[in-house]
Amino acid sequence: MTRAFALLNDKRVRDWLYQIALVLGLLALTVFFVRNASENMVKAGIASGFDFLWRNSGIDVPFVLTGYTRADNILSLFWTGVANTMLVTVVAIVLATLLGFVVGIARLSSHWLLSTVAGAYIEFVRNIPLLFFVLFWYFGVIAALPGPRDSLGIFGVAFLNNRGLTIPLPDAPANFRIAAFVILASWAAQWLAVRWARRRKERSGQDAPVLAIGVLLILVVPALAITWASLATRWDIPVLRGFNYRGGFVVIPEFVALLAALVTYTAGFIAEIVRGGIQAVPHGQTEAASALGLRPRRILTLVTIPQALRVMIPPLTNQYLNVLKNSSFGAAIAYPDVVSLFMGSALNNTGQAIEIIAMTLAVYLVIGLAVSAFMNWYNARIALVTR
Amino acid sequence: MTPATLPLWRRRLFGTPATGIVTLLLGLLLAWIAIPIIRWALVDATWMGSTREDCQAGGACWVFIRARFGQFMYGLYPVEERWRADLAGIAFVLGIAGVVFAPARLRLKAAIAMLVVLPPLGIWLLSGGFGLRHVETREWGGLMLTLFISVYASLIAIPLGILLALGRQSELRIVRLISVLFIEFWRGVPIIAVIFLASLLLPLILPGGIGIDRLARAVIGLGLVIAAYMAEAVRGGLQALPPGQREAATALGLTYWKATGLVILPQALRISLPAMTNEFIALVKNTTLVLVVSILDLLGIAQASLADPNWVGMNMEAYVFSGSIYWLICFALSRWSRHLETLGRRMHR
Amino acid sequence: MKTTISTAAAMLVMGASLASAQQLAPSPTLDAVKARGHIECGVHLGLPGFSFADDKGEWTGLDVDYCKALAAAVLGDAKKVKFTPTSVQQRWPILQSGQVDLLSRNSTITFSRNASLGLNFQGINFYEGQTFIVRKSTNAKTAADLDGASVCVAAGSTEEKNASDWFLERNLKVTITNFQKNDDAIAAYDAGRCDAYTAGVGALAGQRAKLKVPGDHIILTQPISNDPQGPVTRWGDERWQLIVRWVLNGQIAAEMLGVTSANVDEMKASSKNSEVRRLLGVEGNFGAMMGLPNDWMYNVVKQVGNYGESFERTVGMGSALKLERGQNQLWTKGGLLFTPPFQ
Repeated sequence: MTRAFALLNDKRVRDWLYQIALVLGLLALTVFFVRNASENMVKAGIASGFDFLWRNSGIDVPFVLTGYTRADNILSLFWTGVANTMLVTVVAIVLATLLGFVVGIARLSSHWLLSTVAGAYIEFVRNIPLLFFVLFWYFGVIAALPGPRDSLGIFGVAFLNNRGLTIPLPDAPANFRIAAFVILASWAAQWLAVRWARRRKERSGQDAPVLAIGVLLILVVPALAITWASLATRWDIPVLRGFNYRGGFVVIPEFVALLAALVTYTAGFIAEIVRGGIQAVPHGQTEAASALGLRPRRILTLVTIPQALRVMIPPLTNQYLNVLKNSSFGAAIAYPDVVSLFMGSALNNTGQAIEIIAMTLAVYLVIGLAVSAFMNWYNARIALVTR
Repeated sequence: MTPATLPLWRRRLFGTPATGIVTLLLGLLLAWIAIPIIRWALVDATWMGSTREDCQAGGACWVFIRARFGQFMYGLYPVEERWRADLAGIAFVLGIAGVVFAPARLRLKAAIAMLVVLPPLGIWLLSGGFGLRHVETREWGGLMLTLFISVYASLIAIPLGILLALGRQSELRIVRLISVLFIEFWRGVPIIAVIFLASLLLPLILPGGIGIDRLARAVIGLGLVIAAYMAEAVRGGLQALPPGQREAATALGLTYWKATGLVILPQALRISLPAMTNEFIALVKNTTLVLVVSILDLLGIAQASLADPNWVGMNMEAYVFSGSIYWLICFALSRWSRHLETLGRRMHR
Repeated sequence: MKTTISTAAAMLVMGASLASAQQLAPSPTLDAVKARGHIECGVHLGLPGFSFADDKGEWTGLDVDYCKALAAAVLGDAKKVKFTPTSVQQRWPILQSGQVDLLSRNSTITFSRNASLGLNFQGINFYEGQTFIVRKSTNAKTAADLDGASVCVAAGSTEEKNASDWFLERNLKVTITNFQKNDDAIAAYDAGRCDAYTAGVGALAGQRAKLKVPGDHIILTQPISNDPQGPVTRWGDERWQLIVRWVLNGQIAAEMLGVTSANVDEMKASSKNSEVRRLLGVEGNFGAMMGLPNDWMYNVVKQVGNYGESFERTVGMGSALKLERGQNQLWTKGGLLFTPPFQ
């Protein structure tokens, strides 16, 4: 008995007891919830299990990247939603980063008006709920665009109206697959070339024609590949018939509005991160750089931004994950993302709330983990190496 | 502008040709954006009247806001009981002011007293019982509901967030793992889905027959998510403390909880207060999402009022008005957070 | 002779009490309603004519009226009902999880909803037919003229699938854009995002008022589908389902038998028609068989009215919607409304 008490006085034993109690408590709670849920569901006659995924979906989706049609099953509908979520997230991240950097650097500009305007933009954007942006852009975009009959033609092959941007679609997509492969290969070659040039410079101090190679591999080869692919196929050019243009691929206004909302909103946050990052670079660094005779722009790109990036990566990662999560606001304006298609239409047709919500959450968690992992890797790569 | 500052402004705006061009371009951009807005909102706007027909000027129809003002503030809360919502609001403001302006010695005690007294008082005033008429949560709405959700969700989020942050720093491996899982899960999922989840799953996972109020479900859902974000904000404060602090407290013979409560948290929370305020701003903005479960907060009531056949086409007015209120609240909070930040920095020096 | 009568009477009484003892299966929903003192009724977020809350929060409409009738039958007071507005997405989970006692939310009865969602439909209170509202300038006369059009619709509704099926069958190409809420879809249609908005004839008649210039739009007259709508309950609790079903039947029967809120007192006192007498609880104990007061239908007709009165007040000629009775007329007058006899 006394030995048992003595054991309790041992901190390690006590710690383990706490932890075991915690785990048991959580387990009990989980079991309690799951049992209630299954009991309640049986009582209510709600089906359970994932069989519904192979049922015919019958839901029309106006914006499809995956080749999905209404004859496919609900699982394909799910993937279609995931693809749409990914698309808007990726494009929004790229554009928001660009706009955010511009605004953030403008905020630090010595030009009084420029920095004030940038500051006002940041304060305006950060303090309004995103939902307002989504609604504003949606109804703003639709109101600003003309009806189908008065469409804005772009070289007579693409047409912009309030039903979206209709662009021609190639009859032979295989060419484009080859072109995409060529482009990726040439970018990979560029990466290798840069590494080789750097190593050569470290070894022998000789410069390689990096710029020429870069232009060739990054721009010229891809341009040639795309030109070839476009000329080697026939194009399905949209024509106005009846209510709207037929044929081609339609970039729906919901996509544009959601994208614009995500970009303008997120840019406000990224701008603050950029400002904070640049201000975190010690003043001595810029002074030293200018003492070495570097021009202001070279100081920014060679000294300030690389060091600021290190501070910026963790908060930027958070913002990128926010963009992913915020893309679910598309549900408010009928953008067919995973929340709208799966947690909306599919849930209504099947009624299997638990399974559908679990799958939807899993999408965000999996993508989120992947992005964090990548950013952590990148962060570790550019981290300050102290010797 | 005094003559002395004029050359300064000229140099600032038109000092070099490049500066001048930027100034001109920006000026044009600003005019292009601002002039139509000012014309719509002020010059061509209608302020007086009582129906849609009174708005013929082509600009904003602020008559609509006047007619619906009570609803934007209180939702469908019974008119004769609205003083209770006002009183609750005043009590909260006074309570917070009391804590902020109390002498430093009494501040902690004042804060604890307020935490014990105010939340139940607020719920009693709003929902009634014990002598007050019962007002169901489905009648609550508008700005009052937005503030209610923000405050009560953070009452869940802050304590839970602090516990989670401590759990994440704990030396107990399982506690750490559970805290990390909890935090990363809630931080990883969209809030729109969480609110939906809370409103659907909470009734399913509880024993049959136990009902939770619709509003309470949304508050719990939001509270859980924000707790995860709060935990990260608090963690920043905890990590900023030198490890010597805890070591010294332990050396003095303080237990874990005593050391945490008396030494660690008071310092860590002061450092993380700006970050926590920012999370609170995010919470206020995210309350708009409760409209997916048909709870009518400020934005929800604005949208609902648009469906009134007597006031068709008031979208801009409703959104501009409700948007400005959100902006004012969040802007004030963000200024306060920045003030805290500079204050903290000065103290460290 | 006298003894025979009294014996027979005694046997009748015994039989009746036995019968009532047998009938009264446990009904957790009814018990909960009685304990709570009001019915929780799930309705549409805002559909003029069916369920719409004015700026005071007062609910009116055909679907709302049905819930009031149920409250009158169960609790004796049509005001003892509270409404939970539900979106298209929320409606089934809210009913399934027991947050409302029933849905009366212009929801279409379909096979798969009945078979796989754990839902039961308790009769039809509105025969709806799906159609489209379009701008007059498009010159579309029927749905077949909509080839190539964009159509706005509420996601997860029967309309979404109906429209998709109908155009596919006719080899017409339309783009369907799904919104989370009807109001979002209407707003987008009004803003020019779509050429047409699709919903039921009755729903459109009410929602038309939400457009900026209602006169610029026209509702196509030919429906593309039949969408019978009615109150919905969860599986289980047979007695509650019975009550929900027969209150609706009772309202239709009252119209058939000529019982109105104006003459119900008179009918109750002096009607010779035994079906009227059974309906109003003068004869037999129909209310008690379901565990309700015997004057259940009297309360319904007195406080809410019969089906026809309710219809005229909310969606018919006495309302802003001005809908014809059409299919929603009694079967004896050329419509489809029918109720099994109160016997």
